[in-house]
Amino acid sequence: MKNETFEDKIANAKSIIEKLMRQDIPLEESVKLYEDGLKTIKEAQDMLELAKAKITIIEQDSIKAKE
Amino acid sequence: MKTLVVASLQLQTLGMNGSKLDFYFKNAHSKGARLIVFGEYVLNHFYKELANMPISMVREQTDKHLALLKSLAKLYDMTIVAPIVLCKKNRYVKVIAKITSKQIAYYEQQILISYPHWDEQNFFANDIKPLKSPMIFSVDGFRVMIMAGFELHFPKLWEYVREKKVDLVVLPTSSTFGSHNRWREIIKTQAFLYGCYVLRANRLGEYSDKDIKWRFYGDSMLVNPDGEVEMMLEDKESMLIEEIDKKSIQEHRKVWQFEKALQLRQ
Repeated sequence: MKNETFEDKIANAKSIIEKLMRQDIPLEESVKLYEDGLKTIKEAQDMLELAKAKITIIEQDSIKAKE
Repeated sequence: MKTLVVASLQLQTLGMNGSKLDFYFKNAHSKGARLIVFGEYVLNHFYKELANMPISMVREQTDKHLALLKSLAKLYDMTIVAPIVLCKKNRYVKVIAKITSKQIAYYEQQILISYPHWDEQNFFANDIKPLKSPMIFSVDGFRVMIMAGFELHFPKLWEYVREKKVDLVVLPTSSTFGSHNRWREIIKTQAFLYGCYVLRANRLGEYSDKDIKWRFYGDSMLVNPDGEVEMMLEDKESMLIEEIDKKSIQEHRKVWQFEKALQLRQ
């Protein structure tokens, strides 16, 4: 199975939020969606942190190379 | 003579989405409403449902609705009275928020229902302590007191209506089962005895508990100081908008002289 990208996760989170906004949604389903949403956002945040860390390393490498 | 337009919003739980509120606020504003009251468990779910929700979700629901109501209070220059559940140290506290464009103040419900089938006292972390005056504030020269639905049964709290010369009691409720007539009669009686208007907002919606269905039936109403129902909603989503006036309150006090009779004996 293809790994989800950061963009996939954001799209997934948006879709969950839209569903959560429906007033006719049963409570049980809204709790499940809320938990799925938190998990998806956490995963997206982790991906972002990882990307930031990679950029920092690349920048440091680039400074060292110039020196 | 002074008048004030007030509104009672009869809704079921909004869940995470409060977008329909703007429609009602715009409508109330166009009719000159300066005060709007919500029923219990409209911004949050019914307390028995809260037990099955993550606390972070309840907190998010509360924060989101408070921010929305604050912006609506500012946009339409209204005072909002809305029951809400606060999260403190992993417990819930049942309060009623008074929201204006400038601030949010909370009245912590003092007496909670405590029966085996409906035990809010055990569920919520509200303090149990000697009774004090409920929250009283002014809107355009009218003195308004907040009373949580169940507190209606306690004369000690009604004494503050007389003592502080309250003109209007706002009463958010979550009445269910077959209690229509009892609530109507108590509200009418208290309005007459204490010479004030009572504005009730009762929630709608259903809660299924094993084989029993709890149906919250609406019946939001405005009762005048003569104990007469001026306007009452049925059991559908709707909003009541009515005008109250100082003259009716002053005439009631002048004609019946309940306060004078008490003063003579103090």
